[in-house]
Amino acid sequence: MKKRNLIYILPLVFAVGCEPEFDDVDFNKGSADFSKTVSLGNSLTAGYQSNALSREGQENSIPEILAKQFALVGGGEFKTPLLTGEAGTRGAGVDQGLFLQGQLLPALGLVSSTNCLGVTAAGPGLNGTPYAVNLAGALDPTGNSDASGFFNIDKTQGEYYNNVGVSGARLIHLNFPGYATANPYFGRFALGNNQTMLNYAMNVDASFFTLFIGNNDVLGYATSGGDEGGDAITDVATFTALYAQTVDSLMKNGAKGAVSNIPSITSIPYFNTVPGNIIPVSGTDVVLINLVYSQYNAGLDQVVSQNPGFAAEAERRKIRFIDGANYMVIADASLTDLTGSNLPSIRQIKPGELVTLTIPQDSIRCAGWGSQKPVPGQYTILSHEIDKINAAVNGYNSAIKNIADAKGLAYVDANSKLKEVQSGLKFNGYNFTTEFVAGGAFSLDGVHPTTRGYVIIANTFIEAINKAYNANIPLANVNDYPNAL
Amino acid sequence: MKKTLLFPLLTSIPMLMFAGGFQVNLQGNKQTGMGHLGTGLTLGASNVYFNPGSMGFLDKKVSIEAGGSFIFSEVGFQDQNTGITERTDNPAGTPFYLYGNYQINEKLSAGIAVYTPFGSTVDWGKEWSGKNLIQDISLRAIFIQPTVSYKITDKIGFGAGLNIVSGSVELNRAVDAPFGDENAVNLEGSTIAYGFNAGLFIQATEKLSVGLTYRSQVDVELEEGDANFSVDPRLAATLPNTTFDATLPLPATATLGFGYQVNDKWLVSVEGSFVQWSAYESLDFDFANPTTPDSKNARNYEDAIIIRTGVQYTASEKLDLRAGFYYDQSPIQDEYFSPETPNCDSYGLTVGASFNPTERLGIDASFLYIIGTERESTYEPEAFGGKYATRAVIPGIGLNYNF
Repeated sequence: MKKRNLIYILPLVFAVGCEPEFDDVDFNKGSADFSKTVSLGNSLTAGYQSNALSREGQENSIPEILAKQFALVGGGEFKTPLLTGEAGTRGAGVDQGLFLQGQLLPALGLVSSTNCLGVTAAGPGLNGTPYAVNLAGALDPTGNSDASGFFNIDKTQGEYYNNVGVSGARLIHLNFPGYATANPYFGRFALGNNQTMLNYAMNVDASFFTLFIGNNDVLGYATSGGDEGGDAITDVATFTALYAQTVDSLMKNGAKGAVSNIPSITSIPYFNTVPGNIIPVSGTDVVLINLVYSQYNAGLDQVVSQNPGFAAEAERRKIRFIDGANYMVIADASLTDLTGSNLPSIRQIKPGELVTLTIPQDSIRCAGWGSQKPVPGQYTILSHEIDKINAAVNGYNSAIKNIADAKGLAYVDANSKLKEVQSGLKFNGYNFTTEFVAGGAFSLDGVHPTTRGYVIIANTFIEAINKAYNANIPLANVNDYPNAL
Repeated sequence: MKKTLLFPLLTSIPMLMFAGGFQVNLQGNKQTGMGHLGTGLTLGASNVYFNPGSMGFLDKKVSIEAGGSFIFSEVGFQDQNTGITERTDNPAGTPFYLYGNYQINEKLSAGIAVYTPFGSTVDWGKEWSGKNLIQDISLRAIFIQPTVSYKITDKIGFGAGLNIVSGSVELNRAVDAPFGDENAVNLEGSTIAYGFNAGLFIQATEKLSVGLTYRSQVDVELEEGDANFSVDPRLAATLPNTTFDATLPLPATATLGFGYQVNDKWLVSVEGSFVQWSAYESLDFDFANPTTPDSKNARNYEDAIIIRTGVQYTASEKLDLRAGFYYDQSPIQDEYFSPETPNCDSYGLTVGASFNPTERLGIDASFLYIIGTERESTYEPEAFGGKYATRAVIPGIGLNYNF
């Protein structure tokens, strides 16, 4: 008996004796102080995903991820004005028209649908039907009037939250009194209608701030199709001045912080999923469709014969279909107006020009969009619009960098990180790309990251903070975060 | 399956990686006690493995040896960026051996060897941070080696054996997909492969002996292994259960060893092995289903060496004592260090003893302690890395019977 016992015990002794040990990694906060932090920004700070703000998105927002890591080097408590109820679980998407009718949109999900050709496939779609929000809740500081869980914040104690991320906010909105009434995502937790986002953030009285703002100052223009959308780009000079003022305000009490630049708008899946050459034509159809456009092409030649200077534009506008995949015919309001000669402002989209994710693809498949009918301008961003977008992003980013350098703040290069993702980012055994759905980095709206995409950005913040403040804050582990769409 | 009929019990117990790559050098308790060297020595029936050339130099007409070891090991991983430390929970490995040698006449000997020179079991758990590279792996290879040996002269012997190898691999790993937290695949396959083991033995002087062996590379070519995916239902159409082909090379090893009988009491030996790990360039799983992306995993191993030295002290007619030391170089480059085979340069310290209660019967015991040097390495194709350290303790026991 005794011997047998020994046989069982011996392996245990060996097993314990052979455990390899490591020295602890020395993590520290450097010269920064994370005892109280505030994060000011837009949807990317709020944790917005798949066209909605949800509780899971909020809990996995960049500031929440950062707070968990800061906590390992002495960081303090971090609070987000979390949604509850249906708004929390299904997600709360605000569509201006529907919202005023008392309706919230649920987040997008991968849902099965059948297209006009009878093909059924899974794709992004509303995860169920819109649901009611009680708009009177906006006026009730107790947060008890709205059963949806959207206007759920109890403001009676005057409590401040650390996450001041508001979906849709532009830089120009931060100091805009009344924004709380214009944007319900801010209204739901702002303490008073005239409190500005910046004032709210300053009242948190933080020792460290993050500022990630400016995307919407150009994104709205881009996602609404450029010039046709009626959404203006904030000009770079205004942006630069406002950004400097915002940073000064946040630093007023000696706070340190991190500011992020803006990832290139035109790299996101929203603009890179539907290709421009999506029109397949073959056989006799090629002859027929070219016959249809021959009149237009001849009309352009006629204009050139009267005005030789028009030759270049005429060449750009001529529509030619080939056997195979063709670039779609689009409306382009920037073309010379020739309606007097009975020539519409249309051309084929060129390589490098972009189509939005929201283009109704059934209209292409079955209603002749892009072949017999020009695609409306709101679904494309064309080279002159792309130039404007890139000029704005570059202008904003150099302003942000200059200000960060001048103030000694951590400069987060989210733009470079997106470029890395674009060419395939490997991190901790995971592979991320900007490919829609399959790439893993972007949620179903094609604009906002997935939870794991947010972890990548949060880690980019940490790397920048470590560098600027001589700190060694541990990176977040992608594996600890859910992988959901 | 036919190939597992021979040793159904033993093969059901996985082996554990601890030597260079997934080589397992525990083929005789006498040899293990003195640093696992035996190429230049004549220690018993285990010569059928250690050097087929020396089979005719054994004292007895019939020699039989059997034994095994228990490997208790652990690998630790520490991510320098997140600070997370994770450890394997490896089941104990049990490599074994069985040898028989028969001297037909003064010149000719025949023998058979059954042994397990390659194997690996690493279990990191389902949820560890490197799960997309590997969750757990069990690799087994059982060699069956019928062998003949011929004494060319009184001093020179040559022997060779055919290796019939039963190889099998089973591994689990997570699947990196855009959604789903528990996407995983189980890959399992087995096959029979062939190789050879040849050796030359020279009794140069009364005291000095020299051995040279070459064990060929064996390519374990798995065909139509089972790939079972358990993934998010929305991925099931793209990743259905399918089959795979893969090839795993078991590298060739050349060994040169010297033995020197100092006097009646002391025997010393040194040897060096060259393991041609550069044959292991990549581990590719080629899936039959066209929508399943093939899995290409660069390994780019480099050739590696093992240097061994050991002594044997004959305390009495009934008792031999042994000690040894070896250095085992890891074949894995820093950029291609995968947690699937977490192998560091390692040092082995060994002690052993044989007790011979009768003239015919001996009991052999050995104890091996392996310290893997800590290394900071990354598997760059997947950008996964950190510090790794390994430890193993391996007690072993065997019997020999000679007449």
